[in-house]
Amino acid sequence: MSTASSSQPAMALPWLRPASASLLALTDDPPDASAIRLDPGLVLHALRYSRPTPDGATFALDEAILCQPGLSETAAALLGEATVSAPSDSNVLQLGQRLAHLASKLAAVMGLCSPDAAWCAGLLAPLGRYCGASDHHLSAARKLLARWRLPGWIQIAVGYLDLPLDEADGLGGHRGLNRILRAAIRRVGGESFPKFAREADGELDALAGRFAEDLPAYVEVPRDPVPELLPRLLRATARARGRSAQSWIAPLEDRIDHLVDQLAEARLDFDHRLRDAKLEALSEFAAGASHEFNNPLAVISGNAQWLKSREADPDKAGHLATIIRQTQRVHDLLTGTRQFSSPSAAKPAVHSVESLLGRVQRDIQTEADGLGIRIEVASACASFLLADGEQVRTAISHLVRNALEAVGQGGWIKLTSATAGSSVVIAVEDSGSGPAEDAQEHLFDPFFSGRSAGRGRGLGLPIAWALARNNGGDVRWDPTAPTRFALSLPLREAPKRQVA
Amino acid sequence: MKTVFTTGEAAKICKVSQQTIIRCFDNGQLKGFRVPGSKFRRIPRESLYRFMRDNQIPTDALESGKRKVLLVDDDAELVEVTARLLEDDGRFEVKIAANGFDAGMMVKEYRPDIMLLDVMLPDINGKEVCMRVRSDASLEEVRIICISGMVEDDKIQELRLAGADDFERKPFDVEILIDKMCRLLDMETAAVA
Repeated sequence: MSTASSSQPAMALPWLRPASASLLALTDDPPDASAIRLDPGLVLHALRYSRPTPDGATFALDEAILCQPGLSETAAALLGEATVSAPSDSNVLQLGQRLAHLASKLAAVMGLCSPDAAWCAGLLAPLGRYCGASDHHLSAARKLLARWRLPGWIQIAVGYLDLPLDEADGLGGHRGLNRILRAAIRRVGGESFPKFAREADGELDALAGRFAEDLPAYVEVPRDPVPELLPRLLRATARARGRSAQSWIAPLEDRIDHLVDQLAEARLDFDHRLRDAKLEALSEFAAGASHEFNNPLAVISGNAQWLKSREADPDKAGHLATIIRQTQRVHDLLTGTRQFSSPSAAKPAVHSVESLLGRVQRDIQTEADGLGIRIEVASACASFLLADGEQVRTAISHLVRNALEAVGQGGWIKLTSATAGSSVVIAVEDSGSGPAEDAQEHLFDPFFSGRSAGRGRGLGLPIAWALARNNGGDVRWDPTAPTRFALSLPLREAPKRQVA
Repeated sequence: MKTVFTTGEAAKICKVSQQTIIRCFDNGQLKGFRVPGSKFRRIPRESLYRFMRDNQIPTDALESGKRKVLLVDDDAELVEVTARLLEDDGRFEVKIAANGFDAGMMVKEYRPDIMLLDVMLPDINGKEVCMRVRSDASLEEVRIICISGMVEDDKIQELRLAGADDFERKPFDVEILIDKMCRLLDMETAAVA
């Protein structure tokens, strides 16, 4: 039961508190490793936070480990807690330092493991003693190392010194490190390791004997608390965060970029599918509505026409004419909706851009003249395009009508065309103001309710867009030229014989 | 009331081909005259009436002097107002069929000059009606205007291929509809008072 009696106080132990002096060294930028390595409390910390954990062959008590943000942060937290400070017996600390010096020197010469790993193992070999256990300090150390989740190689090197070397190796530690630590203990451990499995290791023991002759003198680590330590630790934490962030932020940023790309792709795909589904639903609605709505409209219109034909009072006849006109308007909306959601299959043919623009201009000239608006065709390209002429003309007309709505008397509308790669771009620009900000996103949405007046009202722009797409093209609005709508369509080589 | 007819008008009234009228005119069966200074044949009303009576051709078309319209639509209120609008014009006599089956029966009995045919009928669709009418050689002279709320160009083209002569959308302006009817029936487009 003696084991239990020694392990119980060990289990109840909080973290072995680092000395104030080494904590101060930790807050230097960069931290001073030579001051830190003498303090078992801080070395424990360093090992605890050496993630990802290098093994006994490569471990180095260097800046990279000392700058882990968790290290200074936990150290700062420990300042306010009841912790076990250094053992009062400086002999134990002296023993640790001697073991550390000897083990790291052996490691450096023999190359069996990392000298820093050997240093840590040596310094922590009396861990149980640091924490107040005496006879059973090895089992106390084993429990503490496990509880504090130190790397496996240090747990096995220090915690299983009472097992023969081969048995300890079987647990998965680092053999070279185990051999060196054991050789150091055999040489300078004296009677402090009563349960230690003493096996000779010829060459190592001989070297240890030699090196032990002139080990450096014991250096005491001052443990008095320093008043400004906490803020310094917190600053060091922040600094370490910033530094380590740079190394892992870059790959994370790449990962985020990748995810954002994937999201954008998925979003685009989703948007397209959503748009197609909306168009399909709208098309279905419009098909049904055409029949269901147009019959009652015809009845309303027919009755109004009949009454109007017998109406002598011009005022009443005017009201009846309004009814007739409005039924036509509803019909046009239904027609437009169908045209937008499922335009008729395009019958592509080769058309001269110039003649298409000319026809649109002629179609709209009278209306524009009536409104006092100038329409000019500044056709810069003598190209041909391959598309359904009627649909293209309708699309351009809608763009021009959209401009007519936005331009006041005395304004102008300019139609231009140019080739860009394998496309012809027909642009309609006007002297009006651009679309209202809240309507910009919905320019090509039919029935968007935000367009109360002016540009983009009704189904003109959506139909132009749908017809352009139906002919392998597109209609775009350019925010940098807010009154310019550009219709692009597939360019076609000039035909040999003359076309319309 | 019209007092003199062209050979084309006489052919429509008698429901025979213009060639038949010209042959009968030329061999003296159908009396008439030529327009002075040209070769155009003209047939006075009484001469045409006698010719029709002698040849057992029903004379009601000539008696009323009105063109016969068969209006085919299942929407009772629409049919009512359309019929009234057409009759108000004064040149048309209108009968009504509410479905494709009735339309098929009545087109043979009533022998209309023109059918105004709703495309969406409760039983068979308008395209089918067009094709059945066109498959009967004796109904060759019947003109057909399809009326529908649907608007796709390719659907309209299908109806034309099935034998429709023209197409009008719902809701329609009755003046435009009558203009189309007049053009198909070789009539003056403006209503005769």
